[in-house]
Amino acid sequence: MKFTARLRSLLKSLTKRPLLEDDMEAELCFHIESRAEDLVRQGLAPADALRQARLEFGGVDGHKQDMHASLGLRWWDEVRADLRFAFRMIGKNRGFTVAAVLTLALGIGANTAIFTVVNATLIRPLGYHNAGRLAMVWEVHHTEGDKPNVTSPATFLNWRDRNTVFEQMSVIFNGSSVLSGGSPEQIPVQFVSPNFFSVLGTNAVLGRVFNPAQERSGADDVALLSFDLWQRRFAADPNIIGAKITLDNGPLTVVGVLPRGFQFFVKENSFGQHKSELWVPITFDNKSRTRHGRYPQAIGLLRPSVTFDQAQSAMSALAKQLEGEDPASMKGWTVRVIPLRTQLVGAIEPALRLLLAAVGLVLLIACSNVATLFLRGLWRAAMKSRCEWRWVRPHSASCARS
Amino acid sequence: MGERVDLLQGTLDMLILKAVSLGPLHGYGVLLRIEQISGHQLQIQQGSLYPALFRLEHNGLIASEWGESENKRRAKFYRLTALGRRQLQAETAKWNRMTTMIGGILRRTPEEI
Repeated sequence: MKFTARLRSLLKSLTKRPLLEDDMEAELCFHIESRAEDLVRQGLAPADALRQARLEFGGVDGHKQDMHASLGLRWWDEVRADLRFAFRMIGKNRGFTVAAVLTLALGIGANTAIFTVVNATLIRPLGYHNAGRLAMVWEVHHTEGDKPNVTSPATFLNWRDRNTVFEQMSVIFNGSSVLSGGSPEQIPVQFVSPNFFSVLGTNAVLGRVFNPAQERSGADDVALLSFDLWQRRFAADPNIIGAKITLDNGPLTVVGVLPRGFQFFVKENSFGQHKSELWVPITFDNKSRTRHGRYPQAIGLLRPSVTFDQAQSAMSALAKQLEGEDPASMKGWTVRVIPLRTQLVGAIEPALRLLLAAVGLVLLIACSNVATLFLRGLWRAAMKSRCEWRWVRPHSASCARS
Repeated sequence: MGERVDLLQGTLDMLILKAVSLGPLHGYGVLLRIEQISGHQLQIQQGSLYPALFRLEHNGLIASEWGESENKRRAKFYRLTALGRRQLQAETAKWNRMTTMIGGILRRTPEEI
Protein backbone atom coordinates (compact mmCIF):
# COMPACT_ATOMS: atom_id res chain seq x y z
CA MET A 1 0.00 0.00 0.00
CA LYS A 2 2.70 2.45 1.04
CA PHE A 3 4.81 1.20 -1.81
CA THR A 4 2.19 2.01 -4.43
CA ALA A 5 1.69 5.44 -2.83
CA ARG A 6 5.42 6.07 -3.06
CA LEU A 7 5.59 4.91 -6.65
CA ARG A 8 2.66 7.11 -7.62
CA SER A 9 4.25 10.05 -5.82
CA LEU A 10 7.62 9.50 -7.51
CA LEU A 11 6.04 9.25 -10.96
CA LYS A 12 4.08 12.43 -10.33
CA SER A 13 7.21 14.25 -9.17
CA LEU A 14 9.20 13.11 -12.18
CA THR A 15 6.60 13.87 -14.82
CA LYS A 16 5.66 17.26 -13.40
CA ARG A 17 9.09 18.38 -12.27
CA PRO A 18 8.96 22.10 -13.29
CA LEU A 19 5.53 22.45 -11.69
CA LEU A 20 6.83 20.75 -8.57
CA GLU A 21 9.70 23.24 -8.24
CA ASP A 22 7.34 26.22 -8.71
CA ASP A 23 4.88 24.82 -6.17
CA MET A 24 7.66 24.25 -3.66
CA GLU A 25 8.81 27.83 -4.04
CA ALA A 26 5.25 29.15 -3.75
CA GLU A 27 4.48 27.06 -0.69
CA LEU A 28 7.55 28.23 1.22
CA CYS A 29 6.95 31.85 0.18
CA PHE A 30 3.40 31.64 1.44
CA HIS A 31 4.64 30.39 4.79
CA ILE A 32 7.25 33.12 5.24
CA GLU A 33 4.89 35.87 4.14
CA SER A 34 2.07 34.65 6.36
CA ARG A 35 4.46 34.56 9.29
CA ALA A 36 5.63 38.08 8.45
CA GLU A 37 2.02 39.32 8.34
CA ASP A 38 1.42 37.87 11.80
CA LEU A 39 4.55 39.57 13.08
CA VAL A 40 3.36 42.91 11.62
CA ARG A 41 0.10 42.36 13.48
CA GLN A 42 2.17 41.93 16.63
CA GLY A 43 3.68 45.33 15.99
CA LEU A 44 6.84 44.82 13.96
CA ALA A 45 7.73 47.05 11.01
CA PRO A 46 7.11 45.23 7.66
CA ALA A 47 10.81 45.03 6.70
CA ASP A 48 11.80 43.75 10.14
CA ALA A 49 8.93 41.30 10.14
CA LEU A 50 10.03 39.76 6.84
CA ARG A 51 13.61 39.46 8.04
CA GLN A 52 12.47 37.90 11.29
CA ALA A 53 10.19 35.45 9.42
CA ARG A 54 13.06 34.38 7.14
CA LEU A 55 15.33 33.91 10.13
CA GLU A 56 12.78 31.76 11.93
CA PHE A 57 12.24 29.66 8.85
CA GLY A 58 15.87 28.73 8.36
CA GLY A 59 17.80 28.12 5.10
CA VAL A 60 15.31 27.77 2.25
CA ASP A 61 17.69 25.86 0.01
CA GLY A 62 18.52 23.35 2.71
CA HIS A 63 14.86 22.71 3.40
CA LYS A 64 14.18 22.35 -0.32
CA GLN A 65 16.88 19.74 -0.57
CA ASP A 66 15.29 17.86 2.32
CA MET A 67 11.91 18.11 0.56
CA HIS A 68 13.43 16.61 -2.56
CA ALA A 69 14.88 13.83 -0.46
CA SER A 70 11.45 13.27 1.11
CA LEU A 71 10.04 12.67 -2.37
CA GLY A 72 12.76 10.16 -3.19
CA LEU A 73 14.17 12.48 -5.82
CA ARG A 74 17.67 12.91 -4.52
CA TRP A 75 18.93 9.50 -5.67
CA TRP A 76 17.27 10.13 -9.02
CA ASP A 77 18.90 13.53 -9.42
CA GLU A 78 22.34 12.16 -8.62
CA VAL A 79 22.02 9.38 -11.17
CA ARG A 80 20.86 11.88 -13.75
CA ALA A 81 23.79 14.20 -13.05
CA ASP A 82 26.20 11.28 -13.35
CA LEU A 83 24.66 10.20 -16.63
CA ARG A 84 24.78 13.70 -18.03
CA PHE A 85 28.43 13.90 -17.03
CA ALA A 86 29.14 10.53 -18.64
CA PHE A 87 27.53 11.52 -21.93
CA ARG A 88 29.36 14.85 -22.00
CA MET A 89 32.65 13.00 -21.56
CA ILE A 90 31.73 10.53 -24.31
CA GLY A 91 31.08 13.44 -26.66
CA LYS A 92 34.38 15.06 -25.76
CA ASN A 93 36.60 12.00 -26.22
CA ARG A 94 35.39 10.40 -29.43
CA GLY A 95 38.51 8.33 -30.15
CA PHE A 96 38.69 7.05 -26.62
CA THR A 97 35.01 6.13 -26.67
CA VAL A 98 35.26 4.28 -29.97
CA ALA A 99 38.27 2.28 -28.76
CA ALA A 100 36.63 1.36 -25.46
CA VAL A 101 33.28 0.48 -27.01
CA LEU A 102 34.85 -1.64 -29.76
CA THR A 103 37.06 -3.52 -27.30
CA LEU A 104 34.16 -4.30 -25.01
CA ALA A 105 31.83 -5.09 -27.92
CA LEU A 106 34.25 -7.70 -29.24
CA GLY A 107 34.64 -9.31 -25.84
CA ILE A 108 30.94 -9.32 -25.07
CA GLY A 109 29.97 -10.42 -28.57
CA ALA A 110 32.30 -13.43 -28.52
CA ASN A 111 30.99 -14.44 -25.10
CA THR A 112 27.38 -14.13 -26.16
CA ALA A 113 27.96 -16.21 -29.28
CA ILE A 114 29.69 -19.05 -27.45
CA PHE A 115 27.34 -18.95 -24.51
CA THR A 116 24.36 -19.25 -26.85
CA VAL A 117 25.78 -22.50 -28.16
CA VAL A 118 26.73 -23.75 -24.70
CA ASN A 119 23.30 -22.89 -23.38
CA ALA A 120 21.54 -24.70 -26.21
CA THR A 121 23.65 -27.83 -25.97
CA LEU A 122 25.03 -28.22 -22.45
CA ILE A 123 22.78 -26.27 -20.15
CA ARG A 124 19.24 -26.49 -21.47
CA PRO A 125 17.52 -29.78 -20.72
CA LEU A 126 17.01 -32.03 -23.72
CA GLY A 127 13.31 -31.31 -23.74
CA TYR A 128 12.19 -34.83 -22.87
CA HIS A 129 10.54 -35.31 -19.53
CA ASN A 130 12.69 -38.36 -18.76
CA ALA A 131 15.90 -36.88 -20.24
CA GLY A 132 18.10 -37.68 -17.23
CA ARG A 133 17.29 -41.40 -17.30
CA LEU A 134 17.59 -42.05 -21.03
CA ALA A 135 20.43 -44.01 -22.57
CA MET A 136 21.20 -45.28 -26.04
CA VAL A 137 22.11 -48.97 -26.08
CA TRP A 138 24.46 -50.15 -28.80
CA GLU A 139 26.09 -53.37 -29.85
CA VAL A 140 29.86 -53.18 -30.22
CA HIS A 141 32.03 -55.63 -32.17
CA HIS A 142 35.46 -56.26 -30.71
CA THR A 143 37.16 -55.64 -34.06
CA GLU A 144 35.70 -52.11 -34.22
CA GLY A 145 37.16 -50.80 -30.98
CA ASP A 146 34.29 -49.27 -29.05
CA LYS A 147 32.46 -47.89 -32.07
CA PRO A 148 28.69 -48.10 -31.49
CA ASN A 149 26.74 -50.31 -33.84
CA VAL A 150 22.99 -50.68 -34.34
CA THR A 151 21.37 -53.86 -33.10
CA SER A 152 19.11 -56.54 -34.54
CA PRO A 153 15.41 -57.11 -33.80
CA ALA A 154 16.05 -60.44 -32.03
CA THR A 155 18.83 -59.04 -29.86
CA PHE A 156 16.71 -56.02 -28.99
CA LEU A 157 13.84 -58.32 -27.93
CA ASN A 158 16.26 -60.30 -25.72
CA TRP A 159 17.51 -57.08 -24.18
CA ARG A 160 14.01 -55.80 -23.63
CA ASP A 161 12.69 -59.01 -22.06
CA ARG A 162 15.70 -60.10 -20.02
CA ASN A 163 17.40 -56.91 -18.76
CA THR A 164 17.08 -55.88 -15.10
CA VAL A 165 18.06 -52.22 -15.35
CA PHE A 166 15.68 -50.56 -17.80
CA GLU A 167 12.07 -49.78 -17.05
CA GLN A 168 11.29 -49.77 -20.77
CA MET A 169 13.22 -50.13 -24.01
CA SER A 170 12.35 -49.00 -27.49
CA VAL A 171 13.80 -49.20 -31.00
CA ILE A 172 14.22 -46.32 -33.41
CA PHE A 173 14.73 -46.51 -37.14
CA ASN A 174 15.08 -43.40 -39.27
CA GLY A 175 13.76 -44.00 -42.78
CA SER A 176 11.90 -42.11 -45.41
CA SER A 177 8.59 -42.74 -47.14
CA VAL A 178 6.33 -41.22 -49.75
CA LEU A 179 3.28 -39.44 -48.42
CA SER A 180 0.66 -39.40 -51.17
CA GLY A 181 -2.64 -37.57 -51.45
CA GLY A 182 -2.52 -34.10 -52.93
CA SER A 183 1.00 -33.71 -54.25
CA PRO A 184 3.03 -36.76 -53.22
CA GLU A 185 6.15 -35.96 -51.27
CA GLN A 186 9.01 -37.92 -49.79
CA ILE A 187 9.33 -37.24 -46.09
CA PRO A 188 11.64 -38.50 -43.35
CA VAL A 189 9.80 -40.99 -41.15
CA GLN A 190 10.82 -42.44 -37.79
CA PHE A 191 9.72 -45.99 -37.07
CA VAL A 192 9.61 -46.52 -33.31
CA SER A 193 8.34 -49.05 -30.78
CA PRO A 194 4.81 -48.19 -29.63
CA ASN A 195 6.14 -47.33 -26.15
CA PHE A 196 8.74 -44.86 -27.56
CA PHE A 197 6.89 -41.74 -26.37
CA SER A 198 6.35 -43.08 -22.88
CA VAL A 199 10.09 -43.88 -22.80
CA LEU A 200 10.83 -40.22 -23.58
CA GLY A 201 7.98 -38.91 -21.45
CA THR A 202 6.47 -36.93 -24.32
CA ASN A 203 2.78 -36.38 -24.90
CA ALA A 204 0.80 -35.37 -27.97
CA VAL A 205 -0.60 -31.83 -28.15
CA LEU A 206 -3.54 -33.12 -30.15
CA GLY A 207 -4.94 -36.63 -29.98
CA ARG A 208 -2.71 -39.21 -28.29
CA VAL A 209 0.72 -40.82 -28.66
CA PHE A 210 0.99 -44.53 -29.51
CA ASN A 211 -0.65 -46.88 -27.09
CA PRO A 212 1.52 -49.99 -26.61
CA ALA A 213 -1.55 -52.16 -25.96
CA GLN A 214 -3.33 -51.08 -29.13
CA GLU A 215 -0.41 -50.90 -31.48
CA ARG A 216 0.43 -54.59 -31.34
CA SER A 217 1.45 -56.30 -34.50
CA GLY A 218 -1.40 -56.11 -36.97
CA ALA A 219 -2.95 -53.01 -35.43
CA ASP A 220 -0.03 -50.70 -36.12
CA ASP A 221 -1.48 -48.80 -39.09
CA VAL A 222 -1.43 -45.52 -37.20
CA ALA A 223 0.75 -42.41 -37.43
CA LEU A 224 1.76 -39.33 -35.45
CA LEU A 225 2.45 -36.00 -37.17
CA SER A 226 5.11 -33.46 -36.30
CA PHE A 227 3.69 -30.06 -35.45
CA ASP A 228 5.28 -28.58 -38.59
CA LEU A 229 3.93 -31.28 -40.91
CA TRP A 230 0.48 -30.81 -39.40
CA GLN A 231 0.64 -27.09 -40.11
CA ARG A 232 2.29 -27.28 -43.52
CA ARG A 233 0.57 -30.24 -45.08
CA PHE A 234 -2.75 -30.32 -43.26
CA ALA A 235 -3.30 -26.59 -42.64
CA ALA A 236 -3.35 -27.19 -38.87
CA ASP A 237 -6.70 -28.95 -39.27
CA PRO A 238 -8.06 -29.47 -35.72
CA ASN A 239 -10.12 -32.45 -36.97
CA ILE A 240 -7.05 -34.28 -38.25
CA ILE A 241 -7.35 -36.99 -35.59
CA GLY A 242 -8.86 -40.11 -37.20
CA ALA A 243 -8.08 -38.93 -40.74
CA LYS A 244 -6.58 -41.45 -43.18
CA ILE A 245 -3.27 -40.72 -44.87
CA THR A 246 -1.45 -42.85 -47.39
CA LEU A 247 2.20 -43.67 -46.78
CA ASP A 248 4.01 -45.85 -49.33
CA ASN A 249 0.64 -47.18 -50.58
CA GLY A 250 -0.48 -48.22 -47.12
CA PRO A 251 -3.31 -46.39 -45.37
CA LEU A 252 -2.56 -45.03 -41.88
CA THR A 253 -4.84 -43.38 -39.36
CA VAL A 254 -3.57 -40.17 -37.73
CA VAL A 255 -3.86 -40.56 -33.96
CA GLY A 256 -2.04 -37.48 -32.77
CA VAL A 257 0.13 -34.39 -33.33
CA LEU A 258 3.39 -33.96 -31.40
CA PRO A 259 4.43 -30.76 -29.60
CA ARG A 260 5.93 -27.91 -31.62
CA GLY A 261 9.66 -28.42 -31.94
CA PHE A 262 9.62 -32.03 -30.76
CA GLN A 263 12.49 -33.98 -32.31
CA PHE A 264 14.46 -37.09 -31.65
CA PHE A 265 17.45 -37.68 -33.85
CA VAL A 266 20.61 -39.59 -33.01
CA LYS A 267 22.94 -39.25 -35.96
CA GLU A 268 25.19 -42.13 -34.95
CA ASN A 269 24.50 -45.09 -37.27
CA SER A 270 21.30 -43.53 -38.51
CA PHE A 271 20.01 -44.79 -41.84
CA GLY A 272 18.04 -41.62 -42.60
CA GLN A 273 19.89 -38.31 -42.28
CA HIS A 274 16.94 -36.01 -41.72
CA LYS A 275 14.86 -35.13 -38.71
CA SER A 276 11.58 -36.97 -38.82
CA GLU A 277 8.22 -35.42 -39.70
CA LEU A 278 6.10 -38.52 -39.20
CA TRP A 279 6.16 -41.37 -36.67
CA VAL A 280 4.92 -44.89 -37.32
CA PRO A 281 4.96 -47.72 -34.77
CA ILE A 282 7.12 -50.71 -35.48
CA THR A 283 6.71 -54.10 -33.85
CA PHE A 284 8.62 -57.25 -34.69
CA ASP A 285 6.74 -60.35 -35.70
CA ASN A 286 8.30 -63.80 -35.63
CA LYS A 287 9.59 -63.39 -39.18
CA SER A 288 11.62 -60.34 -38.31
CA ARG A 289 13.06 -61.80 -35.12
CA THR A 290 16.42 -62.36 -36.69
CA ARG A 291 19.86 -61.76 -35.23
CA HIS A 292 21.31 -61.00 -38.63
CA GLY A 293 20.67 -57.71 -40.27
CA ARG A 294 21.40 -55.14 -37.59
CA TYR A 295 19.49 -51.92 -38.32
CA PRO A 296 17.49 -50.36 -35.46
CA GLN A 297 18.92 -48.05 -32.81
CA ALA A 298 17.84 -48.85 -29.24
CA ILE A 299 17.01 -46.55 -26.34
CA GLY A 300 16.26 -47.44 -22.74
CA LEU A 301 14.65 -45.67 -19.79
CA LEU A 302 16.60 -46.48 -16.62
CA ARG A 303 14.73 -47.73 -13.59
CA PRO A 304 14.57 -44.84 -11.06
CA SER A 305 17.46 -45.87 -8.77
CA VAL A 306 19.77 -47.39 -11.40
CA THR A 307 22.88 -45.53 -12.56
CA PHE A 308 24.30 -45.55 -16.07
CA ASP A 309 27.33 -47.53 -14.83
CA GLN A 310 25.12 -50.19 -13.26
CA ALA A 311 23.16 -50.39 -16.50
CA GLN A 312 26.41 -50.85 -18.43
CA SER A 313 27.61 -53.75 -16.30
CA ALA A 314 24.21 -55.48 -16.27
CA MET A 315 23.91 -55.18 -20.03
CA SER A 316 27.48 -56.44 -20.51
CA ALA A 317 26.62 -59.51 -18.45
CA LEU A 318 23.50 -60.04 -20.55
CA ALA A 319 25.56 -59.77 -23.76
CA LYS A 320 27.89 -62.48 -22.45
CA GLN A 321 24.89 -64.77 -21.95
CA LEU A 322 23.57 -64.06 -25.44
CA GLU A 323 27.01 -64.73 -26.90
CA GLY A 324 27.02 -68.13 -25.21
CA GLU A 325 23.51 -68.96 -26.41
CA ASP A 326 24.04 -68.03 -30.05
CA PRO A 327 27.74 -67.87 -30.88
CA ALA A 328 27.01 -67.90 -34.63
CA SER A 329 25.45 -64.41 -34.55
CA MET A 330 26.75 -62.99 -31.31
CA LYS A 331 30.42 -63.97 -31.14
CA GLY A 332 32.56 -60.95 -30.43
CA TRP A 333 29.59 -58.62 -29.79
CA THR A 334 29.32 -56.69 -26.55
CA VAL A 335 27.07 -53.86 -25.39
CA ARG A 336 27.68 -50.17 -24.81
CA VAL A 337 25.31 -47.94 -22.82
CA ILE A 338 25.69 -44.22 -23.57
CA PRO A 339 23.65 -41.60 -21.67
CA LEU A 340 21.48 -39.75 -24.20
CA ARG A 341 22.95 -36.37 -23.29
CA THR A 342 26.47 -37.65 -23.82
CA GLN A 343 25.33 -39.21 -27.08
CA LEU A 344 23.90 -35.95 -28.39
CA VAL A 345 26.54 -33.57 -27.02
CA GLY A 346 29.32 -36.13 -26.80
CA ALA A 347 32.45 -35.18 -28.62
CA ILE A 348 31.94 -31.42 -28.66
CA GLU A 349 31.48 -30.94 -24.92
CA PRO A 350 35.18 -30.54 -23.93
CA ALA A 351 35.77 -28.31 -26.95
CA LEU A 352 32.82 -26.11 -25.99
CA ARG A 353 34.02 -25.79 -22.41
CA LEU A 354 37.46 -24.80 -23.60
CA LEU A 355 35.99 -22.27 -26.01
CA LEU A 356 33.85 -20.77 -23.27
CA ALA A 357 36.87 -20.41 -21.02
CA ALA A 358 38.81 -18.84 -23.88
CA VAL A 359 36.23 -16.20 -24.69
CA GLY A 360 35.88 -15.51 -20.97
CA LEU A 361 39.58 -14.69 -20.91
CA VAL A 362 39.16 -12.52 -24.01
CA LEU A 363 36.54 -10.47 -22.19
CA LEU A 364 38.83 -10.18 -19.18
CA ILE A 365 41.62 -8.91 -21.43
CA ALA A 366 39.19 -6.49 -23.07
CA CYS A 367 38.25 -5.14 -19.64
CA SER A 368 41.86 -4.68 -18.60
CA ASN A 369 42.58 -2.91 -21.91
CA VAL A 370 39.75 -0.47 -21.31
CA ALA A 371 40.95 0.06 -17.75
CA THR A 372 44.41 0.88 -19.13
CA LEU A 373 42.86 3.36 -21.54
CA PHE A 374 41.11 5.04 -18.64
CA LEU A 375 44.30 5.26 -16.60
CA ARG A 376 46.18 6.78 -19.50
CA GLY A 377 43.39 9.30 -20.04
CA LEU A 378 43.48 10.25 -16.37
CA TRP A 379 47.25 10.51 -16.39
CA ARG A 380 47.22 12.82 -19.38
CA ALA A 381 44.54 14.98 -17.81
CA ALA A 382 46.53 15.13 -14.59
CA MET A 383 49.64 16.23 -16.44
CA LYS A 384 47.74 18.88 -18.36
CA SER A 385 46.20 20.63 -15.38
CA ARG A 386 47.48 19.38 -12.12
CA CYS A 387 45.43 21.78 -10.05
CA GLU A 388 42.12 21.10 -11.76
CA TRP A 389 42.32 17.38 -11.41
CA ARG A 390 39.39 16.56 -9.21
CA TRP A 391 37.90 13.25 -8.30
CA VAL A 392 34.73 14.79 -6.96
CA ARG A 393 31.45 13.98 -8.58
CA PRO A 394 30.11 16.94 -10.55
CA HIS A 395 27.20 18.34 -8.58
CA SER A 396 23.82 18.98 -10.05
CA ALA A 397 22.74 22.59 -10.36
CA SER A 398 20.49 22.48 -7.29
CA CYS A 399 23.29 21.23 -5.06
CA ALA A 400 25.68 23.86 -6.31
CA ARG A 401 23.45 26.69 -5.18
CA SER A 402 23.36 25.76 -1.52
CA MET B 1 3.62 30.90 29.16
CA GLY B 2 5.90 28.26 30.63
CA GLU B 3 9.28 27.17 29.39
CA ARG B 4 9.19 26.05 25.72
CA VAL B 5 10.38 22.51 25.00
CA ASP B 6 11.94 21.07 21.88
CA LEU B 7 10.10 18.36 20.02
CA LEU B 8 11.06 14.77 20.76
CA GLN B 9 12.82 13.07 17.89
CA GLY B 10 10.34 11.29 15.60
CA THR B 11 7.19 12.81 17.04
CA LEU B 12 6.78 15.60 14.46
CA ASP B 13 5.11 13.24 11.95
CA MET B 14 2.61 12.15 14.56
CA LEU B 15 1.77 15.74 15.52
CA ILE B 16 1.30 16.74 11.88
CA LEU B 17 -1.08 13.81 11.33
CA LYS B 18 -3.02 14.83 14.44
CA ALA B 19 -3.15 18.47 13.34
CA VAL B 20 -4.54 17.72 9.87
CA SER B 21 -6.92 15.10 11.28
CA LEU B 22 -8.85 18.01 12.82
CA GLY B 23 -9.42 19.53 9.35
CA PRO B 24 -7.42 20.48 6.24
CA LEU B 25 -4.58 22.93 6.85
CA HIS B 26 -1.81 24.63 4.90
CA GLY B 27 1.75 24.29 6.11
CA TYR B 28 1.75 27.48 8.16
CA GLY B 29 -1.63 26.44 9.56
CA VAL B 30 -0.16 23.14 10.71
CA LEU B 31 2.50 25.06 12.62
CA LEU B 32 -0.06 27.39 14.21
CA ARG B 33 -2.37 24.56 15.19
CA ILE B 34 0.35 22.50 16.82
CA GLU B 35 1.54 25.57 18.72
CA GLN B 36 -2.03 26.40 19.70
CA ILE B 37 -3.01 22.96 20.98
CA SER B 38 0.31 22.60 22.81
CA GLY B 39 -0.47 25.81 24.65
CA HIS B 40 2.51 27.46 22.88
CA GLN B 41 4.91 25.25 24.76
CA LEU B 42 6.33 23.38 21.79
CA GLN B 43 9.24 24.76 19.77
CA ILE B 44 9.07 23.60 16.15
CA GLN B 45 11.78 24.48 13.66
CA GLN B 46 9.53 26.01 10.98
CA GLY B 47 11.46 24.95 7.92
CA SER B 48 11.68 21.34 9.02
CA LEU B 49 7.91 21.12 8.80
CA TYR B 50 7.97 20.95 4.99
CA PRO B 51 10.30 17.98 4.47
CA ALA B 52 8.07 16.16 6.97
CA LEU B 53 4.89 17.15 5.12
CA PHE B 54 6.41 16.03 1.82
CA ARG B 55 7.51 12.73 3.33
CA LEU B 56 4.03 12.04 4.72
CA GLU B 57 2.44 12.85 1.38
CA HIS B 58 5.03 10.73 -0.45
CA ASN B 59 3.99 7.81 1.76
CA GLY B 60 0.32 8.42 1.08
CA LEU B 61 -0.57 9.37 4.68
CA ILE B 62 -1.73 12.86 3.75
CA ALA B 63 -2.90 14.37 0.45
CA SER B 64 -2.56 17.94 -0.77
CA GLU B 65 -4.57 20.34 -2.88
CA TRP B 66 -4.08 23.99 -3.79
CA GLY B 67 -6.79 26.28 -2.47
CA GLU B 68 -7.36 29.78 -1.09
CA SER B 69 -6.18 30.79 2.36
CA GLU B 70 -8.03 32.92 4.93
CA ASN B 71 -6.02 35.95 3.71
CA LYS B 72 -7.19 35.26 0.12
CA ARG B 73 -3.88 33.84 -1.08
CA ARG B 74 -3.10 30.68 -3.03
CA ALA B 75 -1.99 28.03 -0.52
CA LYS B 76 -1.44 24.31 -0.46
CA PHE B 77 -3.79 22.50 1.89
CA TYR B 78 -3.10 19.11 3.44
CA ARG B 79 -5.69 16.59 4.61
CA LEU B 80 -5.50 13.17 6.20
CA THR B 81 -6.00 10.09 3.97
CA ALA B 82 -7.59 6.81 5.08
CA LEU B 83 -4.10 5.33 5.28
CA GLY B 84 -3.01 8.29 7.40
CA ARG B 85 -5.97 7.88 9.74
CA ARG B 86 -5.02 4.25 10.39
CA GLN B 87 -1.38 5.27 10.90
CA LEU B 88 -2.39 7.98 13.38
CA GLN B 89 -4.50 5.50 15.39
CA ALA B 90 -1.63 3.01 15.47
CA GLU B 91 0.91 5.68 16.47
CA THR B 92 -1.40 7.06 19.16
CA ALA B 93 -1.94 3.63 20.70
CA LYS B 94 1.79 2.99 20.63
CA TRP B 95 2.54 6.36 22.19
CA ASN B 96 0.03 5.80 25.01
CA ARG B 97 1.45 2.38 25.79
CA MET B 98 4.94 3.82 25.82
CA THR B 99 4.20 6.81 28.08
CA THR B 100 2.24 4.66 30.55
CA MET B 101 5.14 2.28 30.75
CA ILE B 102 7.88 4.93 31.05
CA GLY B 103 5.75 6.91 33.50
CA GLY B 104 5.24 3.79 35.59
CA ILE B 105 8.95 3.15 35.69
CA LEU B 106 9.77 6.73 36.67
CA ARG B 107 7.17 6.79 39.45
CA ARG B 108 8.65 3.84 41.26
CA THR B 109 10.01 4.59 44.72
CA PRO B 110 12.77 2.59 46.44
CA GLU B 111 10.23 1.06 48.85
CA GLU B 112 8.28 -0.48 45.99
CA ILE B 113 11.18 -2.44 44.53
